[in-house]
Amino acid sequence: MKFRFDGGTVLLEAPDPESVAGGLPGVRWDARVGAFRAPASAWPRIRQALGPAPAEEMRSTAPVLDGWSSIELRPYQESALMAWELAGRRGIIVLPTGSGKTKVALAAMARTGLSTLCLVPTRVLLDQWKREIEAVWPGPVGRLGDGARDIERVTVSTYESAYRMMHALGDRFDLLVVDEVHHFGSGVRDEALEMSTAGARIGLTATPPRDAAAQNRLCETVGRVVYELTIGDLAGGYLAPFDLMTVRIDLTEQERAAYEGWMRQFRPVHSEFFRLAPGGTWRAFLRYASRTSAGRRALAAVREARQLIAYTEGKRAALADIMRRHRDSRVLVFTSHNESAYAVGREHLIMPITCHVRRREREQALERFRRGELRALVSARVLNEGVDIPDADVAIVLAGAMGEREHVQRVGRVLRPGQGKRAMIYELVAQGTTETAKARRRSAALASGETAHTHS
Amino acid sequence: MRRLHLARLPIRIRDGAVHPEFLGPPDHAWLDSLLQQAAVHVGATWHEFESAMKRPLGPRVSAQCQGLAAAVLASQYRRRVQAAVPPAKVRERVFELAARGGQRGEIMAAAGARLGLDAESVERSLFADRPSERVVVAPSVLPSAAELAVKANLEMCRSLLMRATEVEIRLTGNAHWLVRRAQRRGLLWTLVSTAPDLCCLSLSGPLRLFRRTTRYGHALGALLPALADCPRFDLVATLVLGDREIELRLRTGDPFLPAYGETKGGSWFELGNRLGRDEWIVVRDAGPIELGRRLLFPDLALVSRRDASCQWFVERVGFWTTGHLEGLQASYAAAGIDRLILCVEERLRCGEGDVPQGVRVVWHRGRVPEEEIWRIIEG
Repeated sequence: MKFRFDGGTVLLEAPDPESVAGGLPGVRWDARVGAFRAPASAWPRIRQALGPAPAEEMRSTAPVLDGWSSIELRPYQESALMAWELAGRRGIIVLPTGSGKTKVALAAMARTGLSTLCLVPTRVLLDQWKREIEAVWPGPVGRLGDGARDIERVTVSTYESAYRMMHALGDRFDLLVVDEVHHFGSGVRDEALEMSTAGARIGLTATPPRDAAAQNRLCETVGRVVYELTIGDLAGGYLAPFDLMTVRIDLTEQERAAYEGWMRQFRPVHSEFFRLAPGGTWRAFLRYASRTSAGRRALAAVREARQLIAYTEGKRAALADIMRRHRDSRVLVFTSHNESAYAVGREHLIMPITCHVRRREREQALERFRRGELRALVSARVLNEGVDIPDADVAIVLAGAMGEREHVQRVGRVLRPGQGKRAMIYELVAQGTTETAKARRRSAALASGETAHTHS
Repeated sequence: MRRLHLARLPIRIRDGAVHPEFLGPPDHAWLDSLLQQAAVHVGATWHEFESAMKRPLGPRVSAQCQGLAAAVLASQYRRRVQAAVPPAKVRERVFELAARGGQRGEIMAAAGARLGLDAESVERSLFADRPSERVVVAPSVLPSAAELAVKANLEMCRSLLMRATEVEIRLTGNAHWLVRRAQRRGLLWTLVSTAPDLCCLSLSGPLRLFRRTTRYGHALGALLPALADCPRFDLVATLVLGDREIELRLRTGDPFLPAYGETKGGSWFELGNRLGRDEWIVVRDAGPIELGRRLLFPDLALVSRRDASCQWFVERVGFWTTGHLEGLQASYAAAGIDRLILCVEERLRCGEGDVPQGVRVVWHRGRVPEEEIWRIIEG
């Protein structure tokens, strides 16, 4: 039997459709080309099913890469790596932000010595990962994305570039490292994982998806969760202990009137949908609402309402007060929209880090924040995940647009441990609005095994 | 332009078919208002410009129609950063000083002193490079209401075609031109002749492809203007909207095509482009200008950006006699317009007389020399 990698699939050239190849895992007869075909991700199982010596390998087995520097792991990182090895070198490791997920992946690369493709969500992370690998691996590190196309035995790629190129390079790597793996599983770009023949796969995240469909999909493409620790498990030890204070803020009379006006347009459509589809998801509601003009008006109204409560008069005053109290701390302010990030930036003279700020300026700002030349940064989403943020003591969450997962990521941003450090997290919630329920869900997401003190 | 969101297109879906609600002459009044709104916001921030474009123009103008026209109009405008010092430099200074503490006003003044600016300029420049804070710059040529309607209709059809799985165009005559265009754009097509002078061009739609669908969709959309040069056509496209397959039909006469000549870069249309200068705004199809019961239709108006009252009107004249040129000059004068330039085709003289005194004429044989027009204006 002959095997060939063909545009993200494996082609098995067999004599006829009744051949034994038809019984192999994931394999189907492709009448267009008169051969059996399987997704590339099924290749390890096919090899296993064929026994120790398949008739003809697709390509020569890559030699093990050596020369890696030794990587010191903390006990929980060591346990995570062992759990992954025991699960057959497939699976997801869940560790909180700032606990050293990247280090676990580097140790996996070093110990297996396999040719590796690291998938990262953003261009910023592309450079960050490359730097991290270069610190422990003497060989060349490839870079795919942000205008570069260097393929090496160890390569870092953005999701987007991998999605575009996997049909051509899906058979070149034996280990896939997927950073922020929770971005997969919903159908978007999942093919990139299916089009790779890599048998060893490691997914990293602080916030695994909780819905069953995404979990199942990730289980197929990367593996199940093999190790999980929450912020609560590490706070006070490997992460700084923290206090979480929820500050409830009333709307002014004018704000309340405007808010209720918008919500009056939204609520009937929303209620009608959930009457028709009890237990429906927000995504299903969006699809439903976008089909009618009343629905579209309702969506526009709820957007306005959210924008309104994102940075109210009360939040303005509270933010000023908190900033005064923490005059000597390094502060991260999180908003839900770029608009409010710039408003905060202008009012409090805080450097905004948004998608509109060029990479060079952003890197300089982070460096100056690290050196203490800037005392605060404000951001809507850019600082949520991935970017290596210097140490900060105080996080102020003015509003969030992405739910509990985002909140956990944001809290993780101030938990890097330090001598005698106790982080402070303020969550400003507009009382009597949709934010109240959101805040409850966020607290619940943080609550599992939490050791922090919460105040309201 | 990017593909427009389906919910923002003025379309109706009925009996398995999508019916575009084309903009036409009844919409010209509010399109004019929209054009004026845009024009008065030149120099304002992009955020103000966008807000103005969204402001409802009246109960009879649907949000989708206005949104479509506004999106098309906005795509004609540019934006630029207006700041005495690069905003990144301003931020560096301001935030560094803010980290040391102090009152906001003092910080801004101190930053200004270091940058050689007053505090107000520092405030203005702080985020001047943000897309929404950039300043609106008018295009060199502004469309008329009629042009804007056609452009908007065309954009709607393009956006719909970007959701097509297949497109079939039945053509009567002049298929060669269209096929060449499809070929040059690299589209996937087959041509079948069904009867003498009648053929059917079948094209794959972008949603038939697995990769580069957006790019292919743009290429397919760019084919649409070429239909203007086909005497008769009947286009049927199968679109995927949501989870349904829906038919789109476009025929000869549907108002989404630019006038003949625009697609080939007709010389008169090009003149408008060639006349574009920083200090002048070119207005195509300026007018009509009312003169009692008579209406005058200058082809172009050139409006000074420094002084809007300084306007020159340009009218093309095909077949001409001395009397005709005299009459034109007198009509404009009666309407209070003395800055008139007539572009006269030398070869289309139909009488014995000469050009009357006082008439400003630019002679041409085919291409109008724009430098002659500027010589008159500046002279």
